[in-house]
Amino acid sequence: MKKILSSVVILLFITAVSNAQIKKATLQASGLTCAMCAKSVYTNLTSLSFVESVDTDLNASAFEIKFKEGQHVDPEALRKKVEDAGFSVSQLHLEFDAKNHKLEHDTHLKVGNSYYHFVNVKSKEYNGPITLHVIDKDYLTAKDHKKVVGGSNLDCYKPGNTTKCVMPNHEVHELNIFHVTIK
Amino acid sequence: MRKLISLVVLVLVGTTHNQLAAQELYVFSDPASNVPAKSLSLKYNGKFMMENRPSSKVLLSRHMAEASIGLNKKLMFRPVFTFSNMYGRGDMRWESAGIYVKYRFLSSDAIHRHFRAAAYIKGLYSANSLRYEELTGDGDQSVVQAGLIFTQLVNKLAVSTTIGWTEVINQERWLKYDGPRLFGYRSLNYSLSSGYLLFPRTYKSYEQTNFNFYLELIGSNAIDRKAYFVDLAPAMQLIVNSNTKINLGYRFQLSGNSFRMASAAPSFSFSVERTFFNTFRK
Repeated sequence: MKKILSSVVILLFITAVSNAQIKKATLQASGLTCAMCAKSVYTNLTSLSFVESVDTDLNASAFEIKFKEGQHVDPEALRKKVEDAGFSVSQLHLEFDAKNHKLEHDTHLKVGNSYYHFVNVKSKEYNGPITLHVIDKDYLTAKDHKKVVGGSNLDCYKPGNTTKCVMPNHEVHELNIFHVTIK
Repeated sequence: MRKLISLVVLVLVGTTHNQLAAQELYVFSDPASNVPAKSLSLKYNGKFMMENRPSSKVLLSRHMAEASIGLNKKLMFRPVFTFSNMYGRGDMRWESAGIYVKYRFLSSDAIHRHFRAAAYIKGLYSANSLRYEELTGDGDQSVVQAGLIFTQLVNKLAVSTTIGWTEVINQERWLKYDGPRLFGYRSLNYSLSSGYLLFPRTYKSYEQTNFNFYLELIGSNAIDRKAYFVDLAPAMQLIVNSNTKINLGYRFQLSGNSFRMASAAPSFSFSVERTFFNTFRK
């Protein structure tokens, strides 16, 4: 019942489709201090087909990732690569070029093959570069994730519940919806 | 003796307020962390010790070849082969072959810190006949080993502890013999390891050579007889190009009554390890 209810609620969401692309991202990895550990994250990230280049800030364990033009950017793939290296994602910021995008709390935006679900964002028309902070579980440290949970009671966009997010009207792949906020 | 051990423990764990960056790529033990998934790490390790025989001094050496393979982020395995002149008549020969499997069952990451726990099991066949009270998984006896590893990285200091069981499975263990035995078949092994990054103080690139210092306490208590030893092992490590480790270690006995190789003489170790990231990925 709960599932059906949330599905109905999801249907009511306005889904905007955007041709704009995510051009770059800043990813911080946690659980490491050594250059050799960072190297394994770096090597893994550069092996992704949609990644153009990766710049590392070794002292902060941060990776600035530039994406290839016209390619779908999959945040899930980025996270898996970091975890395969043996570490975790503690921050993922996606740079998105907004072009008259009307965004508000609880709206969806389709970019490439992914849906971005906006949580606690100011209702307005966005123009120019905006930074999307991914707030799902496993994209933040456990501590930071706790801080953002509680913004909503709805199962679907409760961070960390990406797999349960199904939109009946769209062919949405599981794990293909990301909850983001703009700061 | 007990005082000395507590002092060492204090040095190993009491430096968490130090801001030095640390490493957990220990020279004498394994951390709870695994090699990265789909990557391959090849290692040569040489162990050298001098045995004083009545007529001559003999350099004993063991040469180990290991290949660590990351199946996924949680599971790795490592085939290992050893050659030595430590048994037999002093000639270098193939000595043992084994496999080590490690499963990381807990991982909690935060910025510049983590806590990990892993379980391991090792099976090793050795061509040596039983001789010493010291039981190892390095080729001395045919053994089955299992244990737990806990590694904590706090404020850039990595401390790791291992506790494990060693069971000798050489056939001669079960041969009927009523005389006295010089050795046992079962022991509890443990280690406490700590590592510091001495250079660089600030990272600039992957090509920078890293210099690490390690201090490890390695001990063993026999379970089926009264024998024990506690060793201290300092080691230095260079990491070149963020993929090649060069280790130099020294290991000596702090305390013990076990009947050990070369009358518990100290040993040197030298190892080189190269990691090939992403080897097994399409």
